[in-house]
Amino acid sequence: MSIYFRFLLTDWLTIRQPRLKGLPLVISTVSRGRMVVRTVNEVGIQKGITTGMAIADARARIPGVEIHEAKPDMEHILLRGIARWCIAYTPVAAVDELDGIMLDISGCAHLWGGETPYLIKILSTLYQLGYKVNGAIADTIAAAWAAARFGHERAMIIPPGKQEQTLSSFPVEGLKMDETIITRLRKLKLNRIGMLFSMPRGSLHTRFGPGFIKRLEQIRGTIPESIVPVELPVEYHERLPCLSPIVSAAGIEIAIKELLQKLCKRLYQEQKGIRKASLTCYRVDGHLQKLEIGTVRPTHQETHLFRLFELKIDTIEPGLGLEMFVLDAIHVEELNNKQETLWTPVVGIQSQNIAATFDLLAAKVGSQRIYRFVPNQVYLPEYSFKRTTELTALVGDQWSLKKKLPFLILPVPKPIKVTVPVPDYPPINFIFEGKLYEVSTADGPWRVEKPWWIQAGLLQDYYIVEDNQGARYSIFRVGHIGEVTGHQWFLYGYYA
Amino acid sequence: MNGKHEIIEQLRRDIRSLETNRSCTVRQPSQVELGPINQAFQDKRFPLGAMHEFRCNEMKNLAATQGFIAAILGYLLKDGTAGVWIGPVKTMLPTALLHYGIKPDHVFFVDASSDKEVLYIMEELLKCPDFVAVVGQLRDLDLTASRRLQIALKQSHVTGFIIRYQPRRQQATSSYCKWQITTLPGFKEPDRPGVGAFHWQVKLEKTLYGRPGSWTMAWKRKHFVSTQSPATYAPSVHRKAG
Repeated sequence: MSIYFRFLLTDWLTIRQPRLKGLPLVISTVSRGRMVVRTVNEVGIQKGITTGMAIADARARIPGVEIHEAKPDMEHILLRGIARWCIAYTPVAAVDELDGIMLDISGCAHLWGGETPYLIKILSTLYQLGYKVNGAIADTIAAAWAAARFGHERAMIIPPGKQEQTLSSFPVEGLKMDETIITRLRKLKLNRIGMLFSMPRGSLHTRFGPGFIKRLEQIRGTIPESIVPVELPVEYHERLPCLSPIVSAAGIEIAIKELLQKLCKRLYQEQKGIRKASLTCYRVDGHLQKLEIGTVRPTHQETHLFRLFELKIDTIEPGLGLEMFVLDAIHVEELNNKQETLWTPVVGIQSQNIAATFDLLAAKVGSQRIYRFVPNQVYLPEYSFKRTTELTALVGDQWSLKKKLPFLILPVPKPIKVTVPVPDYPPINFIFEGKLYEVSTADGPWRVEKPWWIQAGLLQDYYIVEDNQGARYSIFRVGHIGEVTGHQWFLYGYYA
Repeated sequence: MNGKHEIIEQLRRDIRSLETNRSCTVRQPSQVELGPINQAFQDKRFPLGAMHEFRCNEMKNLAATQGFIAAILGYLLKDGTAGVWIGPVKTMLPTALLHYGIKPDHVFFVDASSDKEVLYIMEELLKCPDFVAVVGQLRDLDLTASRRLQIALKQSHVTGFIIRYQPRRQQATSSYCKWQITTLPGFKEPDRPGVGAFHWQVKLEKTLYGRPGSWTMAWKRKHFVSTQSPATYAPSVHRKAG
């Protein structure tokens, strides 16, 4: 199905500012150093303003014309939003250049009682919002595109296999070809698409190139054409349309339970589990509300997943009501289906209880704040580990500890002033934040050089120093003492 | 396909009902060999499944406290069991946990900055019986909050550790034990170079049904070592009512 927005930008502006209704309205843009008309609404066209006309001319023609500006890619932003909204009607919705939307409605129309009620439902909803739209349903993308723009009616359905017949009376602009080809066709008095179907292929090929033949075949449907959907349809996906809009939390809970029941049944049969899922609620006024949950390990337990959603229900703003719920399992994994051992239950990091606890906590505080550290095979102590939010993966015995390290470190090492009587020996005292610390014993240095493939940067010498009160500090020096580039001392952390 | 899973699930359920004996799923409690300090507790062993509160004011003592707790965790985190550390993650070098015999990947870290958050997260996690220990670092703790934590771990039998760094007020709390750890010059044999082993002054300020006291302890070869001549416990606090 193709939907064509005749006055996308001006309609959108009129919805935002209802006072503009019925006034001549122009969206301006700068072209070659002067202000010209980018689009104009219906009233403006009737009064003689055309696209590309200078703003000064438009002002001269209608003194009270409303002139506004819009972002250069505003059409695309709007159409993407509308295409997302259309996912309520079909999973595959795409933006069609700058003035329309293309929907793949295979297998969807019967849910609304056939193609005619389906088309009328979508068009009338958009019309009520304030968009002047044309729509057409056809077997092929190219035919639907042409019918939406050059059809005789606002809503047109081309019966199966009849696209050649229907399109033959349309002007050649309906082919969606280059401007040069269209002007050449016009020059040759080939004004209607129908004239082209009966012409010999060879002569069309020599005059207009292979792309032209391809286009004609696309209208017929012998060569496939594809669209790029705004959101890829998810494999594990459930939707629940509601008879009347839902506004209460209890209603939302019932909807989530119902969706989860269906989805989990399917996941159970395929022995898979959800890692990440999202719930999209379609509001009657066209807004989308989205919830997302994640789990630490794949699960298909309804009750657990419901608890995760339940924590977030209060973030949904139902407004005037929600008319549809869609549950997508964005990330699905195979269940780890090992035989549970009964007498030695998993109590370690792979425990079910821990995963469930972290799921709930992540729903509250965010999954980015729960970490685990896994070994990283790098010699530098600061890089000898990696932070990961993958909580259940098992790590082999790859940890290694070369030297004594402090557990408590400063987020950023802080510069200190030191007294070093003998080069390369530990300092005898240091000043940190204005306080003098006398060093009584020390260990070191432990020299850490940058890897050979990183030539830049200086070596670091780590020392453990103990002051006379027994506190142990980790300090390091960057660079050789007496080096031309200079050296600097830092406090790194505190030993226990 | 469908039928196969159902049959397997049913069989598992049958086996479980035949063989499950809850008593054998209970973990064997680990022993924390604290030497003379263990004598101070009611049943002569380190109290597990209870709340331990540590207080410190200076950065160096915070490091000592963290080290002492990590040393205790080293005894508790055995056989792949897991613990949680809640606090500012940026200030921790996880590899250093290896000094205490802990594999850093067996400790989960939760980044939390405010006291409220730490308390909330801690309470949630203490309810999960599969953790062995939960450590939280915060500033102030009041009676209500500490009571809540105590209730949370009552069922799960998880051991809770709270580090109060630079507390603003002295407040009564319902923690089972209250500790204060301060640094001592490194413990080393005479004529040996270097800074020696980690060494702490361990002060047990309060313990329920036990005797408070003060000890010096070192951490050597992944074990606690008492570094004072035996039998010098502080006399128990003499209490008087009225």
